[in-house]
Amino acid sequence: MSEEDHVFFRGKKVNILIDCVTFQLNSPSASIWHEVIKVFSVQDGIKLTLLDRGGTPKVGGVSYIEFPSYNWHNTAADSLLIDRFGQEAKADIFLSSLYTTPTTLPAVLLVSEFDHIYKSKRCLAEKRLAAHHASYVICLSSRAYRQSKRFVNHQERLVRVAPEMEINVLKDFSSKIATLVGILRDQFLRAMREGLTPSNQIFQNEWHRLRSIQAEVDTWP
Amino acid sequence: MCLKQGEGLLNEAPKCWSLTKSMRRIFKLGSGLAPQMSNAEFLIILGELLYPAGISPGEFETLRIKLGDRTYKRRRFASRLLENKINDFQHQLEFHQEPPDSFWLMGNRNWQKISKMDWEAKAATLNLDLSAQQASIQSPRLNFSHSGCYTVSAIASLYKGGKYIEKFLTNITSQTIFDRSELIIIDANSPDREGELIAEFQKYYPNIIYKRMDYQVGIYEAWNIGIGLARGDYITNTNLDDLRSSDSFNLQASVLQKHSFVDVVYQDFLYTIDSKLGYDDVALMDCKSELPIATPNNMLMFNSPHNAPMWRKQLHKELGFFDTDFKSAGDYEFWLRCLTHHKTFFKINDPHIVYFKNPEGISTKPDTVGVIECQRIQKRYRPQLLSKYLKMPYADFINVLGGRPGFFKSKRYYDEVQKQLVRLPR
Repeated sequence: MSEEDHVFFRGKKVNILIDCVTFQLNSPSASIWHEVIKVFSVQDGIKLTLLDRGGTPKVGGVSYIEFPSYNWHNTAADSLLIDRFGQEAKADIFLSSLYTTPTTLPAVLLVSEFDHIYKSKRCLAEKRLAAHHASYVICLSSRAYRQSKRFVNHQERLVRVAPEMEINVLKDFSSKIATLVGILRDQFLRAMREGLTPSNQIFQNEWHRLRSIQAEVDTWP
Repeated sequence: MCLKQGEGLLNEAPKCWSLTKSMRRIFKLGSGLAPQMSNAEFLIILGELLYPAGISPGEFETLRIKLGDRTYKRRRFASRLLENKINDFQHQLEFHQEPPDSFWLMGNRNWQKISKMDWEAKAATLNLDLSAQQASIQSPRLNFSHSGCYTVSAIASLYKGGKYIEKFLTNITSQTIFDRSELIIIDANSPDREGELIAEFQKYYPNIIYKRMDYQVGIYEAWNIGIGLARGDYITNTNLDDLRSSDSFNLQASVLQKHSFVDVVYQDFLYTIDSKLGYDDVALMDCKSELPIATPNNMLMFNSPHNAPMWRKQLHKELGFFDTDFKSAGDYEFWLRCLTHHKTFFKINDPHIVYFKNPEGISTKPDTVGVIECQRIQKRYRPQLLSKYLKMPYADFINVLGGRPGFFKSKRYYDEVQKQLVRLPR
């Protein structure tokens, strides 16, 4: 945390809420997430709370919330529930391991090229929403960047890791995790600062209102 | 062309339109069918008349899409719907003639069905000898002492439960937090003399309350009596033929303790059709429900929390007790009542409860008490739980979203909200 950030947060720990849906769905990027959680769990100034939908590995020093499993149904209701738990846990920022979203919490999205395997209509809709809701979308590879460009309206919110730091789950990536976590921290702080601006507050309130309506009109059981 | 509700197209159509003879006929007929109603009102009433449980949110939306915003098609639409319903009814009669020893896994997206034969085949692959199985019944814990505080009150209605009572008492008293719980058994004047065994258990467990009624009470009356006696903050119902894992009470109570906004906690559950199997063996069979997050829309279709949920006793102070007019679906009525008061339901993934599906008692026939009661309840709560947004005409709905109607209308309102969300300026 920089000096400026220390002043901004007044020494308070940053409370990160991570939706560990990737472990429940056993998606290809689960191994990356395991490493990210392990690195975050030992960092100063960070409190980690995980939404455990099933299969989330146990890591010391981390809080777990048991959370209903995900099945791409009732996605708007799921989103409202995430937000409610986020508020209760006093989370500062949300990070999803796939395309789930809160409503009023600022969020950062981390995308690997393997997350694009989910291609049903509802998956694509949720992907689009997650990309639009997130303050920043971090792409782990140039391919993920190309794929994500289609989903992000404002390209300045798209962050691409340096070519030498690209992460591929099929190759050894353990040495790159610390750098990735550094990037995530930077984006978290930016997202949290921006989250407090009036325009963002309007965005989040309106997002919450629309997502609540969407939950009410979701007739897909 | 946007029509005012209730007005025939003939009055509104531009003069230049050249209408075919058949179109003119439809319009003429349509203009006379309930012109004072909006399309939503028309569909709800049509649903009330044609569907035993009224119209579900999903069906409502499908029909609204088919009818569109037009009013002139109503008569033909109603007659086609009636025709479809007659065909469906015929199909349903055939469907229910299937062997009664099979059942659907609740919430399963693929409508997976398990029959007794499937069950036995799976048991064979797991080397479970069903004929030899006998759940281990442990003797009471001699050193049991109650803490004096009551977190959970488990209520049970007892009638002709002689076959299950010993296994039931052993199962409930082995709960890890039984020293902070109580078991309240309301004997509905059962002829099986279960009271004698219960008295034996009471010697070791002072937190078992047994009350025998001198007349045969219904299940919900028994539950209400139990709730009246309960000292715990949280209530759960226990069926004599169900089983729980030893941490079941604890898992449910922890959620209510940790999350103050949760009012009712429920879970996926394991099925068994063999009452002799113990919890671990049933868990190996892995035949479980896949329940969704409870929302008004899916709760109007099925009762997700029906198997051994846990809820705050406070709810009864606020919303009243179970409705004793019902014989089988009084709990469903109470959960829908909770939803109309915006209470929060929360699902635990861990299937820590075994639900005994009696192969001789399985019945989904349309004329059983349970099914008829569910339909009555759905009809009662649909007006309150069907979202006002679903009932809005398209233009009004878009207006609420704060957008402009696009050139391409989405069929489903969900998709319209989706469009507005991704257009939202940051």
